[in-house]
Amino acid sequence: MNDYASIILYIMREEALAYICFCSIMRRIRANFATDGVAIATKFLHLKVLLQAIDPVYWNFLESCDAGILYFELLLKYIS
Amino acid sequence: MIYLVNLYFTYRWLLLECKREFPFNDALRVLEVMWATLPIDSEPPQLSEISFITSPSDTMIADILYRKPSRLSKRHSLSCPQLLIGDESNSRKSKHRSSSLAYYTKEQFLSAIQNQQQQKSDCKSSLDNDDYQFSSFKKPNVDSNSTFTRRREKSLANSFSLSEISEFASDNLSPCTDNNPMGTANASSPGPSTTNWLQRLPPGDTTWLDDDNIFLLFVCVSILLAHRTILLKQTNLDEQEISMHFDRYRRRHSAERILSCARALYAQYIQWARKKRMLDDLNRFSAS
Repeated sequence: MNDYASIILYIMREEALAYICFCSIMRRIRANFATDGVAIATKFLHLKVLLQAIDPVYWNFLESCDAGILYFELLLKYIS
Repeated sequence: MIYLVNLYFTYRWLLLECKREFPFNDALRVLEVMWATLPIDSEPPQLSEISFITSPSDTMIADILYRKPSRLSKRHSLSCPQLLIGDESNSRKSKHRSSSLAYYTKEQFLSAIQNQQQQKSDCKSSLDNDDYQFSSFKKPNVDSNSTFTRRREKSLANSFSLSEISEFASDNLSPCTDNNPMGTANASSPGPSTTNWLQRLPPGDTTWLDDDNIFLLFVCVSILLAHRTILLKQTNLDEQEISMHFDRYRRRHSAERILSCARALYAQYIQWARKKRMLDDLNRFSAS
């Protein structure tokens, strides 16, 4: 979230205005930060479908490299 | 269940809308382009809120008068992909303009709007030198072109600081176009063609079409494609190594290249989706 806050503050240059913008953006992307991870899981799925369609060879390569990274590790890292 | 790669290394891209994949100035540009593709909020802000942002009455009038055409054109761009890129540069220009409009009289302002309408027709040609330039907000009177090119050079120097990156930049975006000049990784395959990937999308499955930020997906795919040749050359990678590879390129991608690839794919997709929707409607109509 600090990533969003930083760019907004950089553009708006005023904390009050930046706060309004930040609220609007968070309203849109709130689901991404939910701990159940449903929204992000859907995005993973969409990305997968898209890449599969655009470049099957590349996709097969990535699939052959499969190994599990713990999703929740990442979740904890970026949710703060 | 068969093992499926989960693309977990794209988690940061999806969560932060690729903000950390580009150098700061590039990230601003990518986010602006991306957010411009988003549908308009169903509840637009009240006029009182707008006046809270611009206090002088002249700018208020300018803003209110100006808001109408830009909103219309934005809605237009959602249904009509050809206009999309043009509108983007147009609205960027308009933002630029409305800040300086505060000092105009009303007549000048109206003629300026007419000019704006005319500019719409030739905004395609101005696309080549469309400038995202933040510094112009601070000092609009400075010769903006020179500062911009300096900025651009600087950001290019940032993003291509490693020799391997300059190599990556020169040849690796080719998979987005028709054929891969390197040919090494692609020799066994016909290579992704620009148009027929749409046919490979799951038929009838429209659930993923209404993702709230489709353009983000295309940016992610473009970043993945940019690393295609490098990754395909290597063998015995596991996902951890792949994610480490992408971590190394954090804040180092070139917005220019990624965006042009993403835009091309997005335009194809939008056109296809529109056609498909029209055909579906037609079928439904003839069936009833």
